[in-house]
Amino acid sequence: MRIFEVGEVMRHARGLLENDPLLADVWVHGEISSLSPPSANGHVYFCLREASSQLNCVLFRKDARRLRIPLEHGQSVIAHGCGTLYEPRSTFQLIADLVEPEGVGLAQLQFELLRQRLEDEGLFAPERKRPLPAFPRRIGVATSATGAVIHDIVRVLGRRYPLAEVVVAHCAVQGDGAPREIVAALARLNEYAAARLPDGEQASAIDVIILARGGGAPEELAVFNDEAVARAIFASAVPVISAIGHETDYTIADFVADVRAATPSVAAELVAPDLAVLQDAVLAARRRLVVSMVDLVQEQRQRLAVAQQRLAWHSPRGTIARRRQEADDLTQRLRAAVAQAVAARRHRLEARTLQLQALSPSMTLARGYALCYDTASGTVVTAADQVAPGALVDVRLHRGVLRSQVQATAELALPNGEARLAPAGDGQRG
Amino acid sequence: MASEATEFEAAFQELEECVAVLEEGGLTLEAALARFEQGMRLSSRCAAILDEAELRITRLQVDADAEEDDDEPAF
Repeated sequence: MRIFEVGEVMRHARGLLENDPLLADVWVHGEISSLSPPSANGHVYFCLREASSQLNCVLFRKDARRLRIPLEHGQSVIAHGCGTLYEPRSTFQLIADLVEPEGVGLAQLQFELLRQRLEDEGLFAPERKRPLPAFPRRIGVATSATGAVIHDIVRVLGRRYPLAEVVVAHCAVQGDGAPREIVAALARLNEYAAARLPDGEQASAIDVIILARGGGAPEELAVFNDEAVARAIFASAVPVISAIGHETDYTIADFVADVRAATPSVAAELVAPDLAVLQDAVLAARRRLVVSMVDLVQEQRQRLAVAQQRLAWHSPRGTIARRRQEADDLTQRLRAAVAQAVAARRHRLEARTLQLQALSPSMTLARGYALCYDTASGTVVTAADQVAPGALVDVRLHRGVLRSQVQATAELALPNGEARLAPAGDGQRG
Repeated sequence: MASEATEFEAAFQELEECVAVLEEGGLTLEAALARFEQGMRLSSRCAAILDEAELRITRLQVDADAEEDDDEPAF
């Protein structure tokens, strides 16, 4: 016998309850009572009542946020959760993670629970969704090989994008075996590697997968709410487009897929570019090439014209003409200058000549004066004492020369110009 | 098996490059002519690929180990 502390006993009881397989994952139907006003931390506390039994429940904030309709007192609901012992109060309680109004079918309940769980795990995260390739080389299709779906897809792709290769992985899309076959098909498409691929192309040669199902009864959608299918889509390295063929309702596969299409034909359109658009793009590019080229040639032509113009202006011919003109101009000025200089000299010459003439002895001689040269020495006699009587002198007249002999000299010249001869020697003068 | 899609994508990208280079300008006349001719060749090739392409379909055997490449005509 052993004595336990309160805590130990409580913990033991709690362990028992939490590990019980039924209580760990239980759906409970009951009527809401004792609904507490929302607590500050967002948790919702309520009771589920049935006849004389009452179950304490708590819905934590993260799950309470997902309630589509707020809980009401007296509401008949189905809650899902796990049982535990709340030790401080010694109460058994249900930690609920989902509360749905009564009347929602089982399938819907399971759907909501799974959706919640997978969302929490991040399978639906928008960041994880991959973009579709612009020019897919190989398009994988996971669908039933019989039936209209594959025909529709092939028809649309054949029209829009025959450049691609379609790789079909057959799988059942309804019935019990369908989830397993879908998972296998997705895996096979992910592993696909055409043996004849040249080196360098990646092993997973499929660029995008369409997971498709034709229309049918809503019950058959359960296949695409299967957890294994959802996880297989999430695990696919190749982006997946879901085309489950149900306009309004979304399946879990739709949530996990990278893109959701309303129908298989729409999926085919999303996956591939339109041939007509591509052809237009090629033509447009061609046009732009031509326009650019024409513009360039135009531009070059213009540059050439400008250059030619400038060249002509600077050409030798032009320069020569200009220079010639300058030369003519200068020659003219030179001539003028020379002529002027000559004229000036001539003037001076004439003036000097006149002066000279005025000073010239000829005029003086013409007036009756004579130049007297000493014959012997040839020098001009300017004074009487330069010669002795008897010397010979040449007297230069205005016209002609006289050879004379000096008879007598006189020293002075009288103011009136007469000379008084020395008495020695008498002449014919009286 | 060369992929038409890959060839088209590559050729188209190169074509767009030629257009971009020409439109940017600054090329000599010879370089521009070369680019122009290259671009025209590429655009013809792209148009030819688009005109001649035919959709190919391959069926896989999902459960078997070896894959089969049937190359069957359209369903």
